[in-house]
This record gives sequence, C-alpha cells and structure tokens, in this order.
Amino acid sequence: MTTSAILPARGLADRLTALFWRHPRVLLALLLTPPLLWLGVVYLGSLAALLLQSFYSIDEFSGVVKEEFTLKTYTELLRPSNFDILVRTVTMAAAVTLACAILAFPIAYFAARYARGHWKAAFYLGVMLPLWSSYLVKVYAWKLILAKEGIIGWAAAQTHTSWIIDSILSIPGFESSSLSTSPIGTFMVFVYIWLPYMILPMQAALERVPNSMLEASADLGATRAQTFRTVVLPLALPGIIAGSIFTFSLTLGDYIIPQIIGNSANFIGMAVYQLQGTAGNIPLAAAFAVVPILIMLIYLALARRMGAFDAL
Amino acid sequence: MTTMKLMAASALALLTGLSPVLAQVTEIGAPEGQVNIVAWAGYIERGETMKEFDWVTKFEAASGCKVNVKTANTSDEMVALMNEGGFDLVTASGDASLRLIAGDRVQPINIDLVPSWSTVDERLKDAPWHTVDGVHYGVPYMWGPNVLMYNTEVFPEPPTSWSVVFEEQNLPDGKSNKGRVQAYDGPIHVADAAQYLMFHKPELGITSPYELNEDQYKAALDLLRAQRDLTSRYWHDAFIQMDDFKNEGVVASGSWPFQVGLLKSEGLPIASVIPQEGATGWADTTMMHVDAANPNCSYLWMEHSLASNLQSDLSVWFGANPAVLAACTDGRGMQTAEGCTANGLDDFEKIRFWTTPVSNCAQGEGACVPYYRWVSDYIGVIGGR
Amino acid sequence: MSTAVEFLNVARHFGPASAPVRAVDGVDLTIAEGSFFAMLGPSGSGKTTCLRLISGFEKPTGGTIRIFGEDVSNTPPHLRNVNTVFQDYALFPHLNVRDNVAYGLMVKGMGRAKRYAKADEMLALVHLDSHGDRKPSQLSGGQRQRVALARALVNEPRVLLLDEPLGALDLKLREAMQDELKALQKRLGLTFVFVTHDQHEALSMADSLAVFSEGRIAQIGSPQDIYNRPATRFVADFVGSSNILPPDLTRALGGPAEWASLRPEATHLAATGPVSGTVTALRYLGAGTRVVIMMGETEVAALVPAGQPVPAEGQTTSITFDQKALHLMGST
Repeated sequence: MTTSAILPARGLADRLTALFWRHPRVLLALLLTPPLLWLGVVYLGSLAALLLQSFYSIDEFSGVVKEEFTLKTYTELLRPSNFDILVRTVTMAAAVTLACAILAFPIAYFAARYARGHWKAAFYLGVMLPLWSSYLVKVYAWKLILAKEGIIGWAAAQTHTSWIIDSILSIPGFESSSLSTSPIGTFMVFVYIWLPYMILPMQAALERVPNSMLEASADLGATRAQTFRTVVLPLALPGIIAGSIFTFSLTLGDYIIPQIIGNSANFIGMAVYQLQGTAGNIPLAAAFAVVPILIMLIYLALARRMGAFDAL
Repeated sequence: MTTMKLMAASALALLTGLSPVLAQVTEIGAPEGQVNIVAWAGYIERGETMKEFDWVTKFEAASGCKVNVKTANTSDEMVALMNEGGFDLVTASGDASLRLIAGDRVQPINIDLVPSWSTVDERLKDAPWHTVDGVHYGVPYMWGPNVLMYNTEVFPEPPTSWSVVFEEQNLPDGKSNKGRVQAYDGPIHVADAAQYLMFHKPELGITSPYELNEDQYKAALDLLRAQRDLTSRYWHDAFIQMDDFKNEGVVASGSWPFQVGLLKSEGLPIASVIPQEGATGWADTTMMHVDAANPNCSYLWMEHSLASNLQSDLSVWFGANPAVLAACTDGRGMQTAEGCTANGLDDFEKIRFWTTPVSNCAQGEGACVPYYRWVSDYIGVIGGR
Repeated sequence: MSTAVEFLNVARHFGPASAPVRAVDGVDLTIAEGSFFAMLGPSGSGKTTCLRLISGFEKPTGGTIRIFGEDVSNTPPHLRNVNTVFQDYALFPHLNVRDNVAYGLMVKGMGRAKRYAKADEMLALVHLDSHGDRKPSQLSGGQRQRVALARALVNEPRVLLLDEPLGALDLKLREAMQDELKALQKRLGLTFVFVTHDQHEALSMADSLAVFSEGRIAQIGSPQDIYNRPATRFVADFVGSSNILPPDLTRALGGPAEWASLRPEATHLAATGPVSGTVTALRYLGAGTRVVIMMGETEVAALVPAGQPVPAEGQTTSITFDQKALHLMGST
C-alpha cells in the first residue's frame, strides 16, 4: 500500500500564499510600500520643497532668488496689497462654506431621512450630475447666466425686478456693472460648484444617525427644534466638518472661478499662479501657498476641539 | 521644482551678461525626419481647426520632416519648456526671447542657410529682441499691436486717445465709461499706462514704457488705480473678452486684432484703432534650441516659415502682421494689402514691443523697477490698493 | 385600579388603501395601571407597531387610543407622558451617561445642578452610580440597557414602554435583568408595557399578556391562561412546547373530535394504548428526557422524569394521559 500525499503539490503561487499566511506583515508591507513611497517622496517631498522656498527671498534689486533662510518673504505677505488677498480669499471661503452648509443641510436631510427608491436615485443623480460635466463648462455657463445681458438680467427686466439686482450691486464693496463682474457673482458660482462636496458627506453623516435616536429624543420630550439642535446637529457634525473642509479648502485654492467671474481682484490661487508663472517670484508664491495649509491646520484643530471627530 | 530652479538660473544668466556667440550650423544635411516646436496656440495650423488654414501637411510631404507641436500659454511656460529641453524650435515673444538668449537656450542662426531671409521686413531684420551684438538668434515670424477695440454704435468716430479706458468721461453716447471699459489682466499693462503718460505727461521723462524709474512707475500705478474704478473686470482670455463685449456691455478695451477680427466676422459693430499715443505690441521670433536634435529639419522649417503664402494665411488667421511684406501683396495667400493695413502694418513705428522690464536699464544700473514688482503691484492695483 | 392604556378597534395600515398592509387591525386592548403587560408574538405580528402607537411614533389609521382616559390620537410623542426603552437602546453617542439620563429633564428646561442630581439618583437605582462620566461606547451591553432604563425612568413616566429590551443580552444577563426589571416595576408601581418574541420571558415576567398574530390579538390573558388554555392552535404552538393533536388523533386517544393541546409533562409513556408510534428522537433535559413519538402524521412529545426508564430510538410505544389535561380548541 502506498501513502498518497494528503497535501497537494505546491507551486510558486501556493508557496507565496503560505509565506503571506505565516508572515502577514510581509503582504502588508508589499501592499503599502508603493503608495507610501508616492505619498512620502512625491507629495511630502514637494510640500517640503515648497516650505523651503518660502523661507528664501527674492533680491529686491535684481529679482534673483536668494537661497538663504529668511522670514522676509513672510513679512511681505503682510504688505497691504498681499494681506488683502489673504483676507479676501479667507472671507470668501468662509462665506461659501457657510452658504453651502445652509443650502446643503435640508437637501441632505431630505435625502438621508425621507428619500427612498426612485427619489433617492433622483437625488444622487441631481447632486452628481453637475460633477460629471466639465468644471470650465459650468463656470462659463454661469458667466452667461450672470452677465449684464444674461438670463438673470433678462428675467429681472421681464418681471420688473431689476431694482433688486441693482440694489445688490450698489452695496458698498460689491459695486459692479453686473453680477458676473461682482464678487457676489464669484460667491454664487463658488457655492454652486462646491455644493455637491458639502451635500454628499453631510448626507452620509445624516444617514448614519439612526432613526431611533430621533425617536428617543422625541420620546424624552424634545421638540423637533430641540432634537435638531441637541441630537441631529452634533451627530451630523463630522459630516458637516468634512463637507466644510472640502468647500473651504477648494475655495481657498481655486484660481479659475475668480478669473472668469468677478472683478478680477486676486485670490490666493491666482496670486500663486501669477507670482510663480509670470513674475518668477517663487518665494512669495510659496509663502502664499503655505497660507491655505496653515489655515486648514488651524481649522482642523478648531474642529477637533469642537468635538467634530468624537463620533468617528 | 526643476522648472523653478531653471527659471531662476535663466533670470540670473540674464543679469550676469549675455553669453558668447556659439558656433553656427554651416550647412543643411539630410532631414532627420521630424522637428519639435514649442508654439503659441494657433501659430502652427495643420488644417485641424479650420480646413483652409494648413501650412504643415505640404511641408511634411515635401521635406520629410514630421512637425510635432507643443502649445504653450505664456512666455514663461515657453522658457520653462526650452529649459527642460527636447525641443528644436520655439516661437518666442520679446519678453521671452532675450531671456532665452541670455540663458544659452538658443543658438545663433546662419541666415545664409535661410534663403528667404532677404524677403523679411527690413524693420524686423535687426530687431533687438532677437539680434544681440549683430548676431541673429532667430527668424521673425509675426507681430501685432495691442489695439484699442471699440463698439462702433457707441463711437461713431474712432476714439483718438487711450483716455477712454484710463480716465472717467462720458462717451459719445452720453453715458459714463464707468463699468464699460476693460484692461489687460497682466502686469505688462503697466507699460500701456506708462506709454499714455509718455504722451500726456512729458515732464515725467519716460523714454520707454518698459524702463521706468520709481517716480515714473508710481505715476503709472496711480493712473492704473483710477482705471480700476472704471473697470468691472480685467481680461486675460481672448474669448472671455469677446463674451464681455457681447454680453456685459463693454464698449472699449485694449485688445488684439485677433478678437477684433472674430467679433467683426460675427457681424458685431466692432472696430479697432491705434490712438495718438501709440500702442504696445508683440513680435515673435522662431528660435532654435542650443541642443536641437533635428537642426536640419529646423532650418527647413525656418525657411518654410518665411514663405509668403504661409505668412499670408497666418496673418489672416491670427489677425496680425506677417514678417514678410510680400505676403500682403503677392496674392499667394489669403491676405490683402487692405487686410495688412487693418492689422496695423503701417503702425510699426507707433508700437513699442513687449520686453521684460529689468532693473538695469538705459537709465542706469538698478535704476528701473523690475518685472517682479510690476507683478505684485499690479495685483495690488486690481485688488483695489 | 384604573386603566392605563386602552385600544378601541385600533388599526394601522401601511401602503395604498386598495391593497393595504395591515400591520395592526381591529385591536382592542386594555392595560391596567400598575401592571406588567407583555405583547408577545413572532416578528411582523404587529406587537411593535402597537407599542409605537402608544408612544406616538405611529398614528392609527382607525380606532381610538386612550392613555389614562385621554384620547391621544392627535398628541405628538413629546407631549405624551410615556417613555420608551428602545430595542437598540438609542443612547446618544455624543453625550456621556449622565447627560443621556438627564436629557429628558434638560429639554424640559430643568437647571443643570438639579437635573444632574436626579440623573445620579436614577443611575444609582440601576447600579451605575460610578459610570456617569463615561460615554455609552465605553459600556457593556447590560450597562447600556440600564442607562436606557434610567433615561426613560428619570422622566417619571406613567407608562414605560420596553421594546425587546433584553434581546441583545446573553442568556445569563438576560435572566438577571428579567428579575431586576420585575423587581423595579413592583417597587415603582409603574405600568410596564413590554414587547418580546420570547415566550418564556413573557410568561415569566408579565401579569398579563397579549399574543399577536398577523396584526390581531390571538389571545389576551394571564400567563397561566395562555399557557394552559391556549385559545387557538397558533397560540398553543407559539407559546408552549405543547403537543397539538388533530381531531382524529384526539378522538382515537379517547377525546372528542376536536383540535386539542396536550402538554408533554402531562403525557406519559405506556406499553400499549389505542394509538402507538415509533420513538424518533430523544432529548436529555437534566430533570427528565423528552421523548418524541411519531403517531401517524403527528409528532407527540412526552416528558419522562429522571429515574424512569426511557425507550430507545426506533422502539414502538403508546401514550396515556389524564383526560382533564387535554385542552380542546374546537374542530376547525
């Protein structure tokens, strides 16, 4: 009687599988190395280079970059014309984020709590559809909508409500000849373009709030408003924060929309583009680019302190 | 990063003096089979945008050199691409060409190997943006003015002065120009303001709009600040500007013949003029990389680029002026003498071509405000400072 | 003793009127004040919907619901003086245990010091005095269950609703909690309405219970009634491990030609009898052995007390019982 092998003959693939089984870390290391290399070298490396550049300065006299450590470039950031850009960009990003949050919440709430079946599909389609078309196409379309002789202007003229637009455009600081050349136009387009990035995380967060949580609150005597304030909002906060990180940082970095819509006043992204592209002032461009990173770090720290990540 | 470093290096080279003349090609050998060109959009057409504008396919068939085009959007991008290498030719504007020469990125051209050199417009042959110490670093390709584009319904007579875009006033239709004029969204526009002051405030002593001392520069910025109040939006994209003339009620702005031609062809009441103060403009040169891998095809292309039929079609296509005068008149292409006049062919003397402002200028070492300050200050002006 | 909750012909239908899903249909019910009332039934039988009708999370589509005599058909949940212990406890994850318990007092506007004092008192009642500062995620299942209980009780409800509150606990903990809940209810003298699908739990805890089937109440009564005298075959089948005898078998065994239930502990083995069958399964239960005999088409179980002889599988045997143990349920 011959003894036949209980275990089948093993090829290279089987031996590899066995190796991974005995040493799970080997597989993990194999899987993680390429992305970590990418992240570490390419991304963090370029970030470090950027940071380094921002500590160089440009020679006022010759325009040549001096590769010596200095904080001069950062003090230059605080020059009124540059500081204006920072304030303008951060204000816009904050306003856009706030408006997106207010607009997105009811939509996300409806989608998360009430929409079922076809309605849900319609919701996803409605939110995602704008994301599928080209960003530039959307922005140019808005330019036409907001133009002096555009759709909104025409509709206002037809309904004798042009005075509304005119009064908006005569608000000090926003004066302009049309919505499309006013900061208000920039704001509207920003809100439109980034809104899906607020709705989706918000909807995901609201969807994770179990219905029984709302029932429990009502059961314990809370009115709808109280339930919203003390249960829904805190539980949806991670989603709101996630969405606001998107809208805030995307607005901070964008340089296309304010080029096409608005009064041509610079935003951080436009300044970086011009400074490094046409002026060769790499240090100042780098210092400008560092600002959004710092702002986001502060923002995340504040969000953390507010407990936005407690429920994660 | 590499780009940044190289750009810094080239800026450095520009300031430390120009390089010695390099050895020239002495004869054209067998074609290598291809030529790689960095060009502005619309400069090298092979009939793909519009069928009738094609000056590449026949060249490829005749020379055996396949033409590969890399489009660049700014002068700085062109400089960066040439610094990276791998290209044979570039269609550089005046604010890039000297940088390329100073940075040893381009080589001298042996004009004896370009038979059509003799047909080049005399005004361009020794132009300072491609000729250094009598050595030619390229062959002229095309030039054009930055014209004053206006709406003929508002201006029955062409405006005679750039003041319509610089100073608040009532236009011929009785309404203020506030919110109805535009200006170029690039620091080089400081030069337009300087040129306006050159005419209206001779006491400032401006001799070149690209060489401004602190006082002259400050006066130009003040003029631009006044312009900020008149301008709802600045333009940098030709198509956005055209849209603004159509939909935003803009009636006057500095512009390029390109936009004027397109708007006219759509039947809009648009015309252009070079006012009494003159205009700034651009002049482009085909230059050859110092390490060009395909020198023979490059020379063949440079010769081809001066063919009067190509120049004729190119000037129609882009709404600019050919480097070869015969292109306007010999009927080998679509251009006509009237067309050339409309594009500003006769205004060459009125035009001050773009060059990069540097601190060492005719007024002395370090006397002029360098370009990087133009950039940051113009950002401030547009931001309302 | 007055009535705590009263259902008068209550219905709750879902979906279109043409083809409604009758989650609850024609339910009449009275729950006495201070009683421990269980609603028992398989899933989908309508017991949870009835509970939600009391709490106000569902609105009846027909009939009237009264809580302490007051018609609550148009009263929203937060205005009803009833509180619920949810099946998944529904503790607020972002609040600590004390704030969870104090929640109901907070929304009513009670000051912090006062509500915390009451919350701590309530936590002491459920033996969690030292856990006030923890987050719900740091508690075990049983502890969460107690927090949910404290959170509901702190509002001093007149009726406490419990939706399968012990379902997520393991057996040992569940039995301990059963005793504790029962003791708590006795001590507080509150009306407890308790939904469960576990018949042992219902029988052992409730003063009275309703057995639900397909949106209707199949039987309502004391645990003894339900267990010993099931009104229908469904109740007999669901509540106990009773033998259900079809009419012909009942008659063959000496009874009338009716459906009947016969508890295994009242069924004894006999060597001979009117009907015999084959032993198909044996299950040792410690206090005895459960013997399953196949009699024609019907499985009949008998409990043989420990110490008595047990037949082997495959052996043929008959049964005998006291005719009084036979509970008749009609001929259909």
